[in-house]
Amino acid sequence: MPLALRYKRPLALSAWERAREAWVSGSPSPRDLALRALAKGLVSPALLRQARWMIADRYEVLEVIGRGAAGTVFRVLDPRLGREVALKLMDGARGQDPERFLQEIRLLGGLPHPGVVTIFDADLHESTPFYVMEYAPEGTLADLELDLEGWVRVLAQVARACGALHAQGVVHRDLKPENVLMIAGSPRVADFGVAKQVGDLASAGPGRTRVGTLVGTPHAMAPEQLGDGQISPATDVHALGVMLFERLCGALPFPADQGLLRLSAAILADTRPSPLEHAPEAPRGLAEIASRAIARRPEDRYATGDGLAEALEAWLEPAPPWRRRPVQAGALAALLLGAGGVYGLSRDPAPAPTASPAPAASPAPAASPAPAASPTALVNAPTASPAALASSPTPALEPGALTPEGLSDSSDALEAAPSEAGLQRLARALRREVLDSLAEQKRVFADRRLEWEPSLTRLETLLARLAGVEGQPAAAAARELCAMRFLKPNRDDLLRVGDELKAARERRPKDAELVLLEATWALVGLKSAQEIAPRFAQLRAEKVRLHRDRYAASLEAARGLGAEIDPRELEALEARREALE
Amino acid sequence: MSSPTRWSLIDAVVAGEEDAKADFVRRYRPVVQRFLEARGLGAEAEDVAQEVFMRLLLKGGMEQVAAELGSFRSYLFTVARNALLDHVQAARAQKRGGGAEIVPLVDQEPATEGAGSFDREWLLQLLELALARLERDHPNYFEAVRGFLWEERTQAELAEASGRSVQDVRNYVHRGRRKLVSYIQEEIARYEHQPGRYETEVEAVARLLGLAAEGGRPASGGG
Repeated sequence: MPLALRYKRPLALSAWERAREAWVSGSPSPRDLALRALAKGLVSPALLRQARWMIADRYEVLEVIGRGAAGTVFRVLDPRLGREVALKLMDGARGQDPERFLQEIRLLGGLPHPGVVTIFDADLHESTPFYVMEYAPEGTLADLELDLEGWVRVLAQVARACGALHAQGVVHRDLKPENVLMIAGSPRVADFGVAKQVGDLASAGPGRTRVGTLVGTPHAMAPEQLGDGQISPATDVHALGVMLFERLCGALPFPADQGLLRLSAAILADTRPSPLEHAPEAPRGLAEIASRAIARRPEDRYATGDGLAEALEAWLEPAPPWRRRPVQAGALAALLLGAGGVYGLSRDPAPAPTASPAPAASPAPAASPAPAASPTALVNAPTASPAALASSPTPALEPGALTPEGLSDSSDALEAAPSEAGLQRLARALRREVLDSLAEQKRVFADRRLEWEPSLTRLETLLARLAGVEGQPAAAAARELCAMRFLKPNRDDLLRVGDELKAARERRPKDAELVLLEATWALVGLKSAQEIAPRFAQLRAEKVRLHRDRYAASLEAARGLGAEIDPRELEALEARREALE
Repeated sequence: MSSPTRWSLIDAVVAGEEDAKADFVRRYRPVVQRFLEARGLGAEAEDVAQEVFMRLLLKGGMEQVAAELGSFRSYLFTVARNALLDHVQAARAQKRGGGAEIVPLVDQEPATEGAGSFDREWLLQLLELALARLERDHPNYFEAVRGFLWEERTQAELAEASGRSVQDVRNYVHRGRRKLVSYIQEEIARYEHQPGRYETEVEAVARLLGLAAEGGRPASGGG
């Protein structure tokens, strides 16, 4: 070392003194031991390289994926089950209260609901508590790019899940898009680090929140979270309202960038921002829902998540025909109407400019010209499966566009429902029924055998995917079904389903989902499967008939266009109609 | 339940959490101070180490840590070396003005000079922290490891002294070593929690362990 002079050696002296002290006392310091450990090669390079970073000697850490209010979340591999899961480990660096973390675990363990993230395991890593839950490869609601209707549909599901929490006396207190995981296209409410049993609040005893401590995310807080009033389910409704407001307006109702003091003043003010002031083009119905959800007084909001969910679902549902008005449509759109098509109509008086127009099946903004419906769109439009229809924006129907059968049966969507709107309602009802049944199964198995819990949740995810969530390939779902060891007795059946799926996908990709869904129901052995299967068969038959009729009408209309239509499109129309015969 | 594991220490420090800052200084200051002592500073080592952590915590240094693409260890070495250079240059200026103090010529060295001693101190600190945790969480394993390391007794002697079977003692030493590896991994994860960086740093620390076992010194430290 090129030093001018080593004029002081304090390290050597202190080391010697420490060694002497250690020799006298017989208790070496950690540094002395570290020096010995290094000299003796106690920890070998090979051992360090080979050892995986394990938590609780079981979960192999793959990466750090996030940090919540109460801990760090890792993506880990569970070698026993051969799958990736998320593991949340309490973070000691955040000064967290272990009891609060354990409370989060207990809360999650007692909340088996399709809309709530499922907990698989809970334990200690050394002295640090952790729990294992579903891994969300799709990220969170904040990462999701959906058109307005799709997003509102997801929010309605989140509100439903919150409704279930509220029914059990739980208030989440930190709802925000980042705390809604997306798994197989379905939302799961997560991060219950500051959730509260409402009963705790009602009791006179002190809670875990210290006086003067703000709990939650500041910009999403309700006035009562700032100390003005009691925490209640309406607190969560407020947070959901903030999410809706932000989605509608592209801005937060209470901006967080002006400091906590001004933010608090805005939240506690008697006047509330209006979504329509920020975004006049926002659908009026949704704006009203958002306004009510973020009302100053809890009693002026929807009382629970269910109340908000109902309002959102009502907005999503088609209104009665006499309330709708058709938009300007081109000649081919008129042909579609004549053929029983339902496209190019707007449901809401106010357009939804943020909604990206989905091809053919999406309602067109009223203020904008109708989409240029091409013969290709006309051909493609009817190919949406009922499962897809269940998750796609609900088109409106002109009274004249209903088939005679549809008019006669429209009083009861769950019986013979030949109209498309009826089919959609039926698909939705079926999906809900499946999910409800699964929730019941989960409750039953939760009491008996804990190991069924993750399996059922996985199955439920698959069913949700199959029953109407688009963007997830059914083939992947089939593979996962086959890979599920817990259904070993039915493995052959599952393989058969895979074969059916493969063949069906070659015929008609959308129908393959239906085949798989039917077979899956049978395999699950739900109590209500026997009721569901005939209905679903009916649904399929109706769908085929509807499509066949529509192709025939479309073909006739297209032929009337003469030279204006590409002969290849005519051929395609004929081929599709024949395929349905 | 006591003393839960601290994760995301760097993030918590960047976020300005006071208890995390205290933990941060407690963990890494000894490395910096010992490095400065090894570079020839005496009583000033404490002051310069203080300056290093002032730069990190009060002068925006941690924001650079968050944005840094390299390892935290190499970043801390650079900050420590820069603080040392500043100190040396200031001391030299004082000497020209009539002072009598002799100062190290660290400003005439290559930039990586001293990285080896910094890395060795880093390694020792990792081992120290891991051993301290082993003592706290698994005293039986720690006693066995200490007996093996410090008293240099055979396993039979340790068994006799502790009233355990030889197999137990052997098992304790084995498990203690595995725990130490696990604790070192967690220590690394505290400052290099990003997936790519973590793997790279584990490899770097393994390489340093290998060099230490061979009695060699890293040719260039930090990375």
